[in-house]
Amino acid sequence: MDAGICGSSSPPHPPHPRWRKVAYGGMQPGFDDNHTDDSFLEDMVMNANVVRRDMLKVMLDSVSISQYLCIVALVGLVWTYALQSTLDENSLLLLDLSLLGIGFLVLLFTGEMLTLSLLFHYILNISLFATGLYVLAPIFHTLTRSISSDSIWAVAVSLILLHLFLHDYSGSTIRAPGGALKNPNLTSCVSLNASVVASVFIASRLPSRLHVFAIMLFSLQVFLFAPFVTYCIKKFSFRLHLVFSVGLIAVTLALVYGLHLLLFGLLLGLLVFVSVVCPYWLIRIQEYKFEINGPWDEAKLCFNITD
Amino acid sequence: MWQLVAISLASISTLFYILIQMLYRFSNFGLAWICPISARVFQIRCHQILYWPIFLQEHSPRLRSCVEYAEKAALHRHSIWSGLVVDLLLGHLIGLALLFNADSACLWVVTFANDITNEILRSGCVWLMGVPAGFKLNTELAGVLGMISLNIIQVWSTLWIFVGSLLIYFIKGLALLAIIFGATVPTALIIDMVTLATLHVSALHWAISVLYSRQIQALAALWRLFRGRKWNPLRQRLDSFDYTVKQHIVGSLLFTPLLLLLPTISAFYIFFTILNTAITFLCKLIEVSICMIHVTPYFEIFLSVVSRRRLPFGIWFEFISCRSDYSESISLDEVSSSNNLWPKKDGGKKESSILVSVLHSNFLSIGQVVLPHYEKVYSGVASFITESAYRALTGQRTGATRATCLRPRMPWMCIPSREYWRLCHKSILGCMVKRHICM
Repeated sequence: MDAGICGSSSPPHPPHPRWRKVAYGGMQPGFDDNHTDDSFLEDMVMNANVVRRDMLKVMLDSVSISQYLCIVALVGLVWTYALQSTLDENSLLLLDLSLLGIGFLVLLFTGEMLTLSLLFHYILNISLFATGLYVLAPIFHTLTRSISSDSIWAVAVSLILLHLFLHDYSGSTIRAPGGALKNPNLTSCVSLNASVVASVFIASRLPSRLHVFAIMLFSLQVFLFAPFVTYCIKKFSFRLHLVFSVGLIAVTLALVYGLHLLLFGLLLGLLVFVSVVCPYWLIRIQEYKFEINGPWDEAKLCFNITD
Repeated sequence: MWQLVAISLASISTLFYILIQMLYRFSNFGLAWICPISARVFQIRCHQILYWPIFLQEHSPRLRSCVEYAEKAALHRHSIWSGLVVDLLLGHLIGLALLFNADSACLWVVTFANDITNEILRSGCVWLMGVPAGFKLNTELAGVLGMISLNIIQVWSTLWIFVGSLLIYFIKGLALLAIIFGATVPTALIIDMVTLATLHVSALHWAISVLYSRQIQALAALWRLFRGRKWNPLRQRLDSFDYTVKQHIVGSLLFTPLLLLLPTISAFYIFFTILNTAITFLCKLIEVSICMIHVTPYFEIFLSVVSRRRLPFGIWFEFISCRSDYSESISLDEVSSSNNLWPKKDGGKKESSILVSVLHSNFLSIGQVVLPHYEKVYSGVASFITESAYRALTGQRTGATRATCLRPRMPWMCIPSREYWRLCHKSILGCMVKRHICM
């Protein structure tokens, strides 16, 4: 009787509602807010963005970095020879003019649209910079006379290292079509500023005002336009880019060897490290890549938001 | 008889009033630019002289109705004439001392000026052109700035050689001014003369401070350029900004020399700031002494020494005894307990107690008399010091010696001369009548 009473008093339990995966359903009765069932890990994808890299391809890509390292090394060589008075002001001015001419020829042959108005714009910009540098040369000339040469070299080397670390190796600071000035990101700006300040420090140790003007013009040409010229060559023909890079590396190593054996060893080691060791490392560490993607990730747009 | 005296005195006062009004207009337009402190002190002295007929009139309705106001008015009146008397006495002392020692004073001033010019200014500039305190300055810039400074000092010294021959007459003139007008007028003139004599230092300091502040501003702007920031003057904040490559290169080329030349400019700026601040503080010290002479309440000090009862400062009760019905004498300690102060209810019997106290009065000490008058002077000096320190640190030019407390207490009298004559006549007659009644 008691059992009957008990049985009649409690109605039979309704079947437990099945948990559904809904984004905006709110709380589901009988389940916690953070509840997940066995189907939670079904959509998980591991290492979806793995790019199979080829050793040779990575080595070829690293040539751009090696090439820029050599350009900076050549700038350092010119600075050293200028400070040792091996290069006089006339030689430096000749070097500036020849570099400028070669740069324009490269732009012309790599298919850049050099119209008359654009050429005039380039010449105007260069003449403005040259005039500015010529006016500032006497100030730069006596700027660090009271500071010791060791301090100047230490600061210059530090700034060049900073420049190398922060340099944008992916492309050029100056955009190719029409040489229009692209507004660079902060790291590129700091890199460029560091190189210019280093140039000023080195130029201030030179014996004459014309020397200062020539070396400053050379430094600005290299740090501003060398990445642009190499970018144009690479865009025109990758094979030409490789030939140019190998030639540049060979010339730089030869010149550095003539200067100092230890520096040659350092540069060679650095180039091998950048061109061989780093690509090998990059491929080896792919084995340890562990990336998981799933429905818990934030949504990604399937179109470009700027369009 | 009295009418004749009143008319003659009023006429003389009116003539004096017209003369002072003309001098006031001249001092406002001409003298205030060249000798600002002297002009201020002269104005204060004129105020003290011109307001005599108003202070002589004691029969205003407010004076009769309010005792406190009458007391304050009397003290104010007495402080003005006592200040004038003390100023004249000091002037006589200083003036006579200067007159008798004019030659030695002249010699001392010339020697002191030469020592300052040679030992501090010239030597300082030469020192800055070398290696000051071991700092490696830019030789060329230091040379240029040093040569400009030395040339300006030389030109000014040459000009002052001609002035030096007239110095003896100037000192004698100061002595006579002190005897006639009191100590504050020549003292104010000394401040203005010091300012004029050190105009080359002020000019050099101004030029260097302009250079220094502009350099600091330029460096700050270029530093913002490197960080990709730009100052928004409308919203008063730093905004992100995309600078072009050209702007970055120009910025780098300008930033390096500006940064490396900053220590040289700073060394010269610090040197001339120290000199200019020393001169400014010397002038300020003399100005404060003038303020002290003006604001010191001599009559109140005299009263506090001679008759302290004339300067009461609050009242207080002294409890002597507390008598109950039983004629018990209760001490002061017992009075403080509530049981003895109020009637006791003891079996229906009422006990009344009588509290005996004596009314006493506090009197102002000399310090209490003087301090309120000096507080404004101290606050003015303190604000001047903080402002000078802030300006020196931020590269702004230290403000010229601005009179902190040299302000007339009353507005300038701008009534027609006929009205002023009537006022003088009326006040003299009123005074005579009052005196006649008293006799």
